[in-house]
Amino acid sequence: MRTRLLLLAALASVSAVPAAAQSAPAALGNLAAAGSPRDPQVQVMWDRFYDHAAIGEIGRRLQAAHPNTCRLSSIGKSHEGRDIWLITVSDFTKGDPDKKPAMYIDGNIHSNEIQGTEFALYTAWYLCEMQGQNPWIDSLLATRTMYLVPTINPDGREDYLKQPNNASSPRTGKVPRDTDGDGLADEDSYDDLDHDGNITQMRRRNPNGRYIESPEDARILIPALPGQRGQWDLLGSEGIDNDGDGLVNEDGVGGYDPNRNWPWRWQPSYVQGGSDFYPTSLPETRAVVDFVSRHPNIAGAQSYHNNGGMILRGPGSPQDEYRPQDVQVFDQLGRVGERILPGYRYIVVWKDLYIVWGGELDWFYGNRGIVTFSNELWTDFKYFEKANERGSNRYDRPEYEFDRLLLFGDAFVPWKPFKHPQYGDIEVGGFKKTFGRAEPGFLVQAEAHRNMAFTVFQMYQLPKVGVDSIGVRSLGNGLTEVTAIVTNERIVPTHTQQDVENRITRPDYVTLTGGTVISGYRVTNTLNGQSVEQPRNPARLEISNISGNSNLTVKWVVRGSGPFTVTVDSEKGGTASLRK
Amino acid sequence: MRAVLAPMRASCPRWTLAFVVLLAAPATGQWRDARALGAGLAGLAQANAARATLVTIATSPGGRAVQALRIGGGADVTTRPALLVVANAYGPHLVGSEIALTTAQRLLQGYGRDSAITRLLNSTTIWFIPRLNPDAAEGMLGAVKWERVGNGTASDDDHDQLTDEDGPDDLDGNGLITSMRVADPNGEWVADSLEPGLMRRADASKGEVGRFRLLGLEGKDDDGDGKYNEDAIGGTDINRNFAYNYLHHGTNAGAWSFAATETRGFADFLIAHPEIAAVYVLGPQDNLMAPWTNRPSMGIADPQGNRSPEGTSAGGQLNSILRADEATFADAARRFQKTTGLSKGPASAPLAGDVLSFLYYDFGRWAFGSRGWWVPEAPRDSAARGRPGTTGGNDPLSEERNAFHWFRANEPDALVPWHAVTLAGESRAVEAGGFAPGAMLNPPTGAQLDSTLARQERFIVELAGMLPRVALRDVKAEALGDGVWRISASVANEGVLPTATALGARLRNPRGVRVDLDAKGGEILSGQKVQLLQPIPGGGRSTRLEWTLTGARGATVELRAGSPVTGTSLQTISLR
Repeated sequence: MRTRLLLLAALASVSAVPAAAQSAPAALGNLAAAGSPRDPQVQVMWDRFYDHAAIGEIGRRLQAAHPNTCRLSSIGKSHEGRDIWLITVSDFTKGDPDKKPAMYIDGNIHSNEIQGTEFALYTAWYLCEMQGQNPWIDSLLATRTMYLVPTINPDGREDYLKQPNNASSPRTGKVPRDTDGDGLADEDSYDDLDHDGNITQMRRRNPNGRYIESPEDARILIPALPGQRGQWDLLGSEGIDNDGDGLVNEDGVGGYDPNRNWPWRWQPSYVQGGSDFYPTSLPETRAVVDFVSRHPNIAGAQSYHNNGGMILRGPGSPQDEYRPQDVQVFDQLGRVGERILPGYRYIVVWKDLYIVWGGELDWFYGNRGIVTFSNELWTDFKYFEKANERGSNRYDRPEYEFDRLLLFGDAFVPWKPFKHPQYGDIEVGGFKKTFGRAEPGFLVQAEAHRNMAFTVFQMYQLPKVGVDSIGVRSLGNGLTEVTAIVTNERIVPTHTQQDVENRITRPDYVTLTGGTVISGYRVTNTLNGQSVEQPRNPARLEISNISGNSNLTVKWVVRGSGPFTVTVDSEKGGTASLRK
Repeated sequence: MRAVLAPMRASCPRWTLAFVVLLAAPATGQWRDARALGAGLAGLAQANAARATLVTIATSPGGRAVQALRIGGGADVTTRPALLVVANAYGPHLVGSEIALTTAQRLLQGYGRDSAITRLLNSTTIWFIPRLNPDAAEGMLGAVKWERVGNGTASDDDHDQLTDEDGPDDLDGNGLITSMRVADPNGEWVADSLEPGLMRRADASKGEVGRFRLLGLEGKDDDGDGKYNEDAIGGTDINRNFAYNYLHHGTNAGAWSFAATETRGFADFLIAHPEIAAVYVLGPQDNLMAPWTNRPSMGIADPQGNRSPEGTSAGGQLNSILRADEATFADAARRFQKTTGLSKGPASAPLAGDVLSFLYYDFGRWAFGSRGWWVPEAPRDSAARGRPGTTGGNDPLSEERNAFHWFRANEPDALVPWHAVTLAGESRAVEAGGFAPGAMLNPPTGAQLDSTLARQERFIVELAGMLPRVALRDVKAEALGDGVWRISASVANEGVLPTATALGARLRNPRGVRVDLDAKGGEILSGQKVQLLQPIPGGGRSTRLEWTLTGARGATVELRAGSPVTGTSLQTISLR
């Protein structure tokens, strides 16, 4: 039996579902496009951004509609007491999801970098709705698990959505901090002077100002040429001097960077601004650290940010260098990512972007040995699918042109007069918070799908162990030599080199049952049979790693003649067995 | 009598390196276990309700409370500058908790009787956290004593998927975990010829041949993996779990920096108490016998070999203190040595995830550290010079050699003579012996402990008197005519310590001294209504400030200066 659940556009304010929505309207006849769910059980519009209540509600509806595939739970509470939702997607009828190789995804660590949440939700929705329709996805969910934490910063997200903000505010979470050191926390934030829900810009007419209006689009202020008379001063983001200290907007909400608060190469603020008082000082950081460290089956991770079109890998600090074996794995995945995500570059944080101490992806790799990427979602490339357009025309800019031609000016709040208590007669106007760093509505689903496809590719490439074959040879005297070839048929190893060197997760176990094991060996050279004995507990051989796309050989000397069963059991690579 | 030098564990601080097991075994029952310490603290809080408050800042994984006792009287007890004394983050260092508790007790008892103490407690707040790692401290407090460093978190030190499965064992039943050696012609160790209880590496260049192998701590191979005591009870060493120089994936360093509830509870306590201006740390790290200095260096090299200055985004952490802070650390060390009469001490343990380095390098506070007690200098043995195992006058074992001399004369129980023990799996003769657990850290009862408590109390009192104090001085209102006035004032620091460390100014922790001029309706023409000052040195030095403003003759304006760590000074100025 299938229950049709409707998630309306009005979901952003879930508490006030219109009465008309109570009875489902007749279904509209349709033909699903290629790659789309034929008959989605949960309707979600993928051209908008959802608040905290809606995220939980989407999770609940997916769970209700797909109880064998989707589960909603909480990994902890935020500073303001919101649940940090986790959506687990796997085929629950085929094994314990916490024992299958798993991909972990989170989004929205920076409050304003919101679309990672929708991309994570879309991923959960898509996998659930495609299950049963697409055999490849069925088999993926049968053998692997996707953990999705749509937002690991629910307080900051709610602030971004519900409070007046710009595309860059707030970056921080909501734990109050005294940003300007005056003894008060969060006492002088932005002010929505024109009450439109957006923090735009302030400008003041000044015949000696540095800016003029562009002749091509008067909304754009461009620097006056040398010798040219100016028209305007730019005065920064909307706000007044709330605390009377002579400064405007100098201590807004929070005042730290949640992505500098992680316990790997954490550094205090004189080295790394925004790192806060100590690593894991924030409850949201702690919730993720605790969850991930309790789930050694997580072999791959993605943490969504915006923006710039990047597939980032660590290290974030120049103090670290990834092991060459691991770089190969990242490279193989990252290059496919560049193919899936036109306009995105696969690059290294410290070398190609900037230095980050105490970043999330560094903790994932450094402390847990997990292959982790961070995608910087959205890029200027998407405006006209051309690179490097910015700066090509002094009088126009791609984002303004895009707004005129494709959004019909909807992204911009027109300049209008305002009487400012400190600055006098000014004008307020500029881009809305939803523009510039987040996808415009019609591109949300497209970009969600491409990024989802990259994470699903990574999920598919997580280690998959197998027992390829078993050889049995009588040694006489009632003794038998049993040889087994153990495989990992995917790109990612069962242990990154970082994991191997620091012994982070347990070794893979290759176990022989049937007969009495006298001795057990890892064969180091299959041509001449050179082997290394494991003296303790030889029936269960401990293998430190099974590399990606490779195999290894083990053997035992056994009293008895079989049949024998060889089982390989890997925390990150699953289990497999063969009997002979 | 003979004792042993046990093998070093690379991760141990240098001064425990030489002896795996140390300890004073002064009279049994001398050191307080969690229950006795808790009762002592509760008793003080109860008996001195007007001047003492007890709070719990964390509960250890072993279920023990980490407590903080605040002492001091007066209405401003929570807002004036405070000193914090913290001890026993390193589990075996029990003398630290005893110093903290005893000092609190003596100061409270002295209130109303001793005028200096009364004045101090009326003007200064002192916090005591006697035991930051109560689970580990219990290692020294049970029937079998050993130097446990980890808290109650179950841990898999040897990565075999079992936790805490192979700790030391009291093979000889003497209640002390010492060291083990086994006679072995292939061993690399010999008994020192001058100090036969002391083990050292055979000196091949002098033709010596090894006679022993060292097996580490006393104990058997509980889990049959061929190793002795490789996964003892105890998880996180709180004194290695902080962030400065944190050793990622290090044994007993914790699953990650600040993974331990004790570590987080301590930092959250500090955040909640911004008035704590200085901290005295009793533990293995010292900067009072050998004060920290400024040694500018380049920072880390990136993978391409490029280096940037330390203390920057590209160069990473600072490797030594800022130059501007150097004089204060040197001055504190001079005062410490003068006040305590101590002139020579062992080298500090390295800074690696410890409390002391966190307090300065990551939290910007004045942070002073001392072991509190160490084995005093025994009369020199001139025969030691030039003998095998010594390198001229630079004997690498001088600290241990001195300890043998001193213990033999003053505390024979601290030396456990080598004696045969039975160890399953070893066919050769195995012996146990060496320093009693904690002997190098904690003084014997009697004169040593008494004098330690007395000199430490003196220094804590002195340090409490050094806290920064801001006062407004030479406040003037000068008429410029037509209702325009010039206000000038000096913001002086009447304490000894600067109002903040220079590093604290960079961290903006503690907050800088804030100066507010309330013009009461007049208009400020120049100067700032609110400003934050750079650190003001101590000893009455000051920062001079000026404003011009409009105001009616006879009106008043108000000037206020202070920060949580300095107290606040307020002055009303008449325009006349």
